[in-house]
Amino acid sequence: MSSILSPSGLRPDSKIELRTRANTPIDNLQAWQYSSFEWAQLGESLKRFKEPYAKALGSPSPVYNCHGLTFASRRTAVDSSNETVFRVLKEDDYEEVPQSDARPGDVILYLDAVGQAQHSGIVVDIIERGVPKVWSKWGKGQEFIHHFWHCPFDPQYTKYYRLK
Amino acid sequence: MRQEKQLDLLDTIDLTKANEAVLVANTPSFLLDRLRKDAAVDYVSKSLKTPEILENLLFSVTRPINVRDVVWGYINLVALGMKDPNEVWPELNKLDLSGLEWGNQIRAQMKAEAVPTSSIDVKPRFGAMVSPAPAEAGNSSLSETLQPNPDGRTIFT
Repeated sequence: MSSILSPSGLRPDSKIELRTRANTPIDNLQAWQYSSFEWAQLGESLKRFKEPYAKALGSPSPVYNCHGLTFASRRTAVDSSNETVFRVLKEDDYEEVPQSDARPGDVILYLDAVGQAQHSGIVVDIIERGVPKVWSKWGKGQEFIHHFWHCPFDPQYTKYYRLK
Repeated sequence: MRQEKQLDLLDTIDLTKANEAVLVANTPSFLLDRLRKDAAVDYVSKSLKTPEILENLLFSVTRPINVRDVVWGYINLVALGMKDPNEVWPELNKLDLSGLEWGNQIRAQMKAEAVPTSSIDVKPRFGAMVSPAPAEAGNSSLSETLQPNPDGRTIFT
């Protein structure tokens, strides 16, 4: 059903039913308007992020975003507003932990200088000197395994969350 | 003509960082912040006149053919923020930017942060304001125009 094309010939964007543990609906969007091929062309711009600090996994996809990877199993792009992101953290029973205590499975949240959530990911390893290695999806781009500081998002204001 | 000039410009500027910003952005504030620092946006704002940038933007939001049109649309939108607000906003306010995922939100944020580039001289209503003498409560001409406001501060009326 959702693959029916609009009069413009493009597949329309769609939403799915998604809820927190407390049963609150989570706003989301699956973007289909442009093909993965088109986004892959833009993906060339991410070549500066490379090993040993970052490793790309797969191809760009507009269908899910970083929060969709972190909180929704890659099914859709979760609304990036602070209201939604912090509601999910609260209602899914996460609590903040210091970076020095971070461990695999924790969620990392990148904020900007005014506290707006810009990106999220999942800690997959703690390497030498306690640097967290993160698995995250970069917007409509591809997924990366990367040192927490080696990505397009400002690592200056990061917070870590763990399920209680 | 417009398209030829646009193609010339696209051959001249490096869109790598703008492409990256559009690709990885999760929020309009992130995208606006990144594009404001992008040399491509600066170049467009300095190379084109406001009507030309508006025309590019209109083309991008009404007839985007591919993702690169989307990037080009965002570049032109943010470049307008570097032009004279008096020239930009009357026209930019009229555009439907829903063709860009975050077009309307970025426009709203740009508008909220726009800094006026012109000023208006306001003549004082009474002579005491231009007098070098210190304003005191006993100054009858001034005391008539000074009133305490509800939170205790004195305001001019």
